[in-house]
Amino acid sequence: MQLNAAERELTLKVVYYGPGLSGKTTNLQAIHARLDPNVRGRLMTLDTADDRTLFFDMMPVFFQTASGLKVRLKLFTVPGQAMHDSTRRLVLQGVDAVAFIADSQINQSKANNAYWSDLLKNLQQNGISPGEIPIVIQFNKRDLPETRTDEEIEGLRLKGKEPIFSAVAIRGIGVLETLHGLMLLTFARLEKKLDFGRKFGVTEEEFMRGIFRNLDLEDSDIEAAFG
Amino acid sequence: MDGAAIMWDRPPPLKELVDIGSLAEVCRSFAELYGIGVRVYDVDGARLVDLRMGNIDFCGYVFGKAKGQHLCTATVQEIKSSSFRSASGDPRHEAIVRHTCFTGLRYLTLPLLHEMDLLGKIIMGPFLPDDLERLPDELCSISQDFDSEEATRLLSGLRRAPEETIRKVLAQLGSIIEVMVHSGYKVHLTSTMHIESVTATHHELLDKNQRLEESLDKLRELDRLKSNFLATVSHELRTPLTSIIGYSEMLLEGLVGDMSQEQRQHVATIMAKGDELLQLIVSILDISKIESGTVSLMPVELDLIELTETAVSTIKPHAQKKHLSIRTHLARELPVLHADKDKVRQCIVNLLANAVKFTPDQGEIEILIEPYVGARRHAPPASASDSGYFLFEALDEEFIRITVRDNGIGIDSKQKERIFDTFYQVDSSSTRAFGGAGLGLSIVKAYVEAHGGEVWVDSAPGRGSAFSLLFPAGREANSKAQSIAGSS
Ligand SMILES: Nc1nc2c(ncn2[C@@H]2O[C@H](COP(=O)(O)OP(=O)(O)OP(=O)(O)O)[C@@H](O)[C@H]2O)c(=O)[nH]1
Ligand SMILES: [Mg+2]
Repeated sequence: MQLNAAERELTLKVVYYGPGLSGKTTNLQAIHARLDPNVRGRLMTLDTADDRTLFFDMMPVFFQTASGLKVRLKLFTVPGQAMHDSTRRLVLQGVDAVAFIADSQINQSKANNAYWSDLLKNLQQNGISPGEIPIVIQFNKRDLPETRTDEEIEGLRLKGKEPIFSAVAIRGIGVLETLHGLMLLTFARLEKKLDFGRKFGVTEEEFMRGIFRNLDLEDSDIEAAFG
Repeated sequence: MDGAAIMWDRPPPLKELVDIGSLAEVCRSFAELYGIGVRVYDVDGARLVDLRMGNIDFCGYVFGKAKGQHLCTATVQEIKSSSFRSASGDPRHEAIVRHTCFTGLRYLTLPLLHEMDLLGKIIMGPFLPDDLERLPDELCSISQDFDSEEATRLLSGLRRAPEETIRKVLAQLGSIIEVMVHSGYKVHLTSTMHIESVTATHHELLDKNQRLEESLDKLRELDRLKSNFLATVSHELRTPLTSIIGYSEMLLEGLVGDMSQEQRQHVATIMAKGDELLQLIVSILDISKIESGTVSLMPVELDLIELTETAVSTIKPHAQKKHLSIRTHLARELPVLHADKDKVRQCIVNLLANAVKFTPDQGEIEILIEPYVGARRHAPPASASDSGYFLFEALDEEFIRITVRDNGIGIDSKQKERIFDTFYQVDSSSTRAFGGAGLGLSIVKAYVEAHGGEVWVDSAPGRGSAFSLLFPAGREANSKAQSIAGSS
């Protein structure tokens, strides 16, 4: 996180993490498609010929809150292929919030677990304690057969402390909800760490509206909140 | 802070993001097409591109007057230092800015942004706005001798256009440069990331190598301990065993009184098994000496006939039990062989014992000793400075070849590679069927190689085996084996 108090500028780094092919890049694409072009930069993808992410994807989003705080949100994805472990660690440097994109397919459970502990390990190696950083989990590919059942996911939701979202990223379902959940946690973290609201005169509502008024929320669960 | 952390930060300066030559080319094509000058400054005010079009004569004329020079400098300064930062501080909301010169000429400036960061600015101008009807008074009064006819004539070199048009042109140029910046930034990120991940991987490898080396050292130490242990244990076993054999011998020879036929037989078995055990222990001792590198050779000129006879006589009793024949063929003309007598004999004995073990009753075993001229099969690693070997092709050398051939069960090709390994058995069942601990052949290999020779086996399942030993002929072998490494 970079905070330039004099310029009232805040830069937040959000990383989409998860096993290979779980849909990290698809999440970013879905957000990109729903964002007002005036507030976002290009979606930069650094990938190989077969659409696997090679280093990362990155999309900057800029917005200004009503009270004049300029926020740039930089959304990144990591490469999911096992061999890029050191790249995943590099991309995680200085991260402010993580969306963990799990693949709902039953045969991907092992990969989900492996990358979850990989995430915790890489956070620690970057000097970030996993308990202190906002993390949400998304179970993607809910449209496929042979996936974890809703009951199973409900069970996980009750067990863990991270908020869990279900998604079909390829159709944009659940993507904005995931980002919304993560931004709520991020604001709470800023409040706690920096006494953000008081110092910059930004309320949670204003912060969230700053981002989400620029997004096409049609058909999403959060539509009502910003209506 | 390392490179990767920097890359999440602001982008690098404009001149690092785009190739200045290409930037100038793009600007030139616009400047020439529209006949209007283009300048590009980076965020620190350094000029990266400077293209003038059609204004040189007019501006030169004006600059020639003292007051003109003064006003001109001030205008240039104003354009250069004008900031895009508005009250809200957000450059995105600033579009193109107009600057009007005291001459009535006009400049337009456009901020060059990348992801909300100001990287620099593009200035287009001067041009003659088409709404300028006549020369401004401020210009006409810069000096007494100002010639407005001449000035108007010089002005015709400049492009006259509506400001709205030039605004569009500038916006167009801006978006092209913005694309260049974006690609440049992408290349910058990719290469930074590439270097970072290669560096990270390199460090990980170094780490792993370090750990591997440490565990290798540990293993070596364990291996050395194992060899020492084997040597000590074997030695301790041999002492009581010699007594067992010695006392059995005394019993058999009737030195302490007569025994019944049955008793004699039992004692003979005790003695025979004791001998077997002793041989095994001796082999283990040999191996542990080889593995600890403490074997030394004592080469002498060998009498191969005598050597072969003693070797055969050692093995004969075992061969007779299985009714195996052993025949020896010595070539008439043999080169001199300098080698360690005991070691060479033991090689032959080991091969014979092996042959006896794996040849069915009534089989045949042959020993051939002959000169051999040829290239080594496993040429030692050659270097350009090696006198004995070419880099790619081994030279022929002179050897004495000792072959022990049998018509036993044979060995398949997969196992040929491994039978010389310490403790290797073709399969663990052969230990039970044929006895032995798989030490004989590895001892042979180590001894032959210590003499600078080679071993190999020609064999096929069911077709017998032929083990060949090559000893370099004539040469004085080193009295010390520099390194007889274990063949495991
Ligand atoms: N059926 C289905 N397919 C999806 C969904 N989301 C993504 N996919 C597909 O899964 C594949 C991989 O998606 P990506 O977004 O490239 O995955 P990734 O996590 O970025 O993969 P890496 O870059 O290799 O780590 C693509 O073919 C997507 O179309 C979904 O919700 N349902
Ligand atoms: Mg991807």
